[in-house]
Amino acid sequence: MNARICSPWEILRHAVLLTVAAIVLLPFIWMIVTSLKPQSEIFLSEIRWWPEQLHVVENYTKAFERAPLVRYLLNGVIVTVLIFALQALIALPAAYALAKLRFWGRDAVFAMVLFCILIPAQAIAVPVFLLFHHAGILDTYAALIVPFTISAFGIFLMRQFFLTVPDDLVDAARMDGISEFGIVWRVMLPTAIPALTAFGVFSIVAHWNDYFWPLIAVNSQELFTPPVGVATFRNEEAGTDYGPLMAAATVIIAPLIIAFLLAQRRFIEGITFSGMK
Amino acid sequence: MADVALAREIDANIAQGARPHVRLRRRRMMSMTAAVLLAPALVLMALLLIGPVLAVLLMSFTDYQLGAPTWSLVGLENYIELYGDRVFWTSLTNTLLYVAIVVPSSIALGLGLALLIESGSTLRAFYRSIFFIPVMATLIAMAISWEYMLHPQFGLINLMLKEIGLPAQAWLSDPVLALPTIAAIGIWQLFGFNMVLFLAGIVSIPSHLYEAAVMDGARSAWSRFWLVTWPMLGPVTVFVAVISAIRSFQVFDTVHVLTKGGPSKATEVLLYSMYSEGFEFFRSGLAAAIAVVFLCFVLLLTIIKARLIEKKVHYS
Amino acid sequence: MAQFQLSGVRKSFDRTHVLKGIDLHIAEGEFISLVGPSGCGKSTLLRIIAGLEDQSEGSVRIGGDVVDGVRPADRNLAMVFQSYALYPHLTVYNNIAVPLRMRRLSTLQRAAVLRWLIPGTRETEDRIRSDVEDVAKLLGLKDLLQRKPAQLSGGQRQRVAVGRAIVREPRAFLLDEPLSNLDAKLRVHMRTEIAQLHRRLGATFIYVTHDQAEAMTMSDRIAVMMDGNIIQIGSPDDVYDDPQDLRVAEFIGSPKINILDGGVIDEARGLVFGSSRFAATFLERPGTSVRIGVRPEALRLANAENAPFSGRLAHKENLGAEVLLHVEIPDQRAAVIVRFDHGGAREISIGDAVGLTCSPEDLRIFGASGERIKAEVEARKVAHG
Repeated sequence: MNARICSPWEILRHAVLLTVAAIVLLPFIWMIVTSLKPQSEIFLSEIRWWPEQLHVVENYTKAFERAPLVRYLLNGVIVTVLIFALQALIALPAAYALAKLRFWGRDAVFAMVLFCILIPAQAIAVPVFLLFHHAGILDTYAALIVPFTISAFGIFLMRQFFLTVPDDLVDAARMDGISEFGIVWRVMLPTAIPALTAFGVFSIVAHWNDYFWPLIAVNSQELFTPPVGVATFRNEEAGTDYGPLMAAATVIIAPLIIAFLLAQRRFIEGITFSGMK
Repeated sequence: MADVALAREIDANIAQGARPHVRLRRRRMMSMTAAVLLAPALVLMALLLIGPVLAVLLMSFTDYQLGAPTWSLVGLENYIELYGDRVFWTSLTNTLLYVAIVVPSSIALGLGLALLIESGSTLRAFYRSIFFIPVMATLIAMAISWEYMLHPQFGLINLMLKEIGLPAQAWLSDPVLALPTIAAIGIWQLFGFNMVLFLAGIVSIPSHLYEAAVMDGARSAWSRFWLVTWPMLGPVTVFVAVISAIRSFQVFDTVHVLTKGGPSKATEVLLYSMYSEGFEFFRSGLAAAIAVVFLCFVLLLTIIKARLIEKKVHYS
Repeated sequence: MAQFQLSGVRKSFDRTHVLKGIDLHIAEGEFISLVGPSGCGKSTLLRIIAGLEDQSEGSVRIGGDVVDGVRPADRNLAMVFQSYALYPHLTVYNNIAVPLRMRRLSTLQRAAVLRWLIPGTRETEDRIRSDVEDVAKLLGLKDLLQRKPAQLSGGQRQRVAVGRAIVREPRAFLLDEPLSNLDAKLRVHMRTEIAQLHRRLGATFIYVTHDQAEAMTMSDRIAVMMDGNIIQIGSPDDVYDDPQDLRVAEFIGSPKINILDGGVIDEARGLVFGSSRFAATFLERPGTSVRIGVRPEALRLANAENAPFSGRLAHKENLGAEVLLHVEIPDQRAAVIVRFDHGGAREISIGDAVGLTCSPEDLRIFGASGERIKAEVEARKVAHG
């Protein structure tokens, strides 16, 4: 093992990879370092990798004082969790029906699902906006959540997974006296946990980071999701006070990054597996 | 066999009328179950996806404006307006240019790093995770960090250029540099995703193919790459290219936060045009027409991708 | 416990007819095997009995009641599936308990929250526990109750599947190729176990398999199915010794029955096959070509000169206790296989001329379309060449 690590090729490999890694991480590092600096050290004409004077408390306190960051994070949690829960609630029974039941029109419904996968959310933002406007639900939590409750991709993904569940298992459940609805939640759901987890990671990351729709759907600051919140903060502070702004940005990305570092494999699998979208 | 005959006789008497009825009821019950299971999904699909797609098509033929008391059909007028609008063409070329920069770069970077990671046995998971972080970090927050790094006077990038004796650049306010700069951020954000797809592709290449290549005389890693790795990664690469193109086509966040389409429309992209027409000037009809153009491009790419997914699913 | 009566059961998917009119009576406590090659409709028939599939025509009666349209769960039958169909997320204990819980507990009592607050839940769960433990003891699963299916070997999973079936004392057991996912050794062992289980429970077993050896070793009766029909039904001995159809003769028995081409000769009303002629009393018209079946163990070695038929030893298959001799006979399509005890075949080597003889009562004559022809063949060889 040691011989391998010390081989010239291996040294070169690590040298290149570490350099790229450093470049990739630079925006994160610089963001965090800046969030620790006093204003006097931010507007400098030289590179200062570590502040001489730590302004952690000042910057972060200011960030939390000037923008309701806790509220933004809370909104992020409420919106992403509810979106995912509703997606699962709606997609799982549909996916089960498409995978395991024989009924008239099944192929047509599946074709419709496939077509819906093709629709990018941004392309239909205008009519959905108008629909919500007329329904009077713009600028509410519902406006943030409802458009994403239906995930055609989720239905497709879970259907593909359910196809791999042996029919025998469904038949055994029927013989045991479990109803069709019971089968979805008591038999299919537990076997689908890995696929559902992957989809959940994808869904939560996508909607935590989504900027386009929340920007359109809500106006009130108390409904802002983290990306809209931090962008608004930036617009208010533009160019004047980078310390608290970087502190706010750090706070906004922290939850996902920490979750990612705790379960890297799950995240990478989830996002790439479902991220085919 | 006597009992069979007897049974048949009895059967003929009782069952003839009753059975088809029962069977029909059961089949209907099955359909009912399916309908109930599918109903929420179908209703929401109709209301939130298919309805709006039709609406966006219809609206693109109207002069609908949010808040205006009336609206009327104007035929192709919105499209004609777009056709004659220099900004729209700038927006379309910028988007295509952005895609043309981001897709090959993020593929090359993703593939190169994936190969480099897999060529050794140490720290593989570590590098994979590092390169994946930009994929999931909230892009808006990172755009703000990039903005500060790109600050003409105090930004890290220019300070570093100064260290090595190069002139400072106005990255985001120079019309020539702005789009490539936005694209660079796009590459930074996307390549890790492509890398993971390539890693999965490399891992799935059976090792006996490499052994066979060695036996066949492919001595260098270089020749083994061209003999085995590259051909085996062909389908993955096509797949990655399409996905990257779809994602790049949807560029919006960085433009909205960093340049607002400027300077002088240098970073105006399709989604940004649609956003400003639809949600800043509330010219819904025109926004719908841009959305239709956007939809056509994305649909084209997605149909290619859906074909590929189907293949992948069937063969796995 | 119950008897089954199937009358005129047909099943078509689109335009393919999977079952073409099945009439079958299964007695109480009987062990019946539905055996046939894949695609013969045996699994569809079982699924129709189970209620998992609707027949297109005909009716199924269990214990005298017509059950058409009755949901599977309400037929009170148990089924063991080929893939075992264990719930992967539940422990062995819970897997076995599911059918009991579904029957004995109300929906409210099964709900995860507050279930213990509902009167009777604890008592019922206690009864379920003792029932599950009884079954576990019976099947030797006591130490595995807290494991998940993924942590079990194939044989153990199979036992759990059986346990889940027997725990609720159903009217009958339906087994759909339950042994085909096991390795050869375990399969032989489980054959014995299932047969013993049947004897102990005394319940009706309907067993679907494509493996004739399983059908032969366990069943009271075998129903041989081909192309959507039952072509013969009877005890294992009947089916083996007295096949009514060439396909049955060929399907049952391993190694396969030898089939020789022959014909009915005009003047002597004899039987000819290969270069040999036998005297035979025939009902067939002269000139009819027939196919003659003879089991490998019915053939004996004889002097090549005046044996009824002779050939050359092409291959010797040593199975330890016995030897299979492959003898190539002129004018015959396939080599004839002779089952021999090990000692008796030691001196013969490959390439030797071998004479074969058999008792005429061991010859089974089939017509050109595979139907059995009754004939009495005499031992005497009429002519040679």
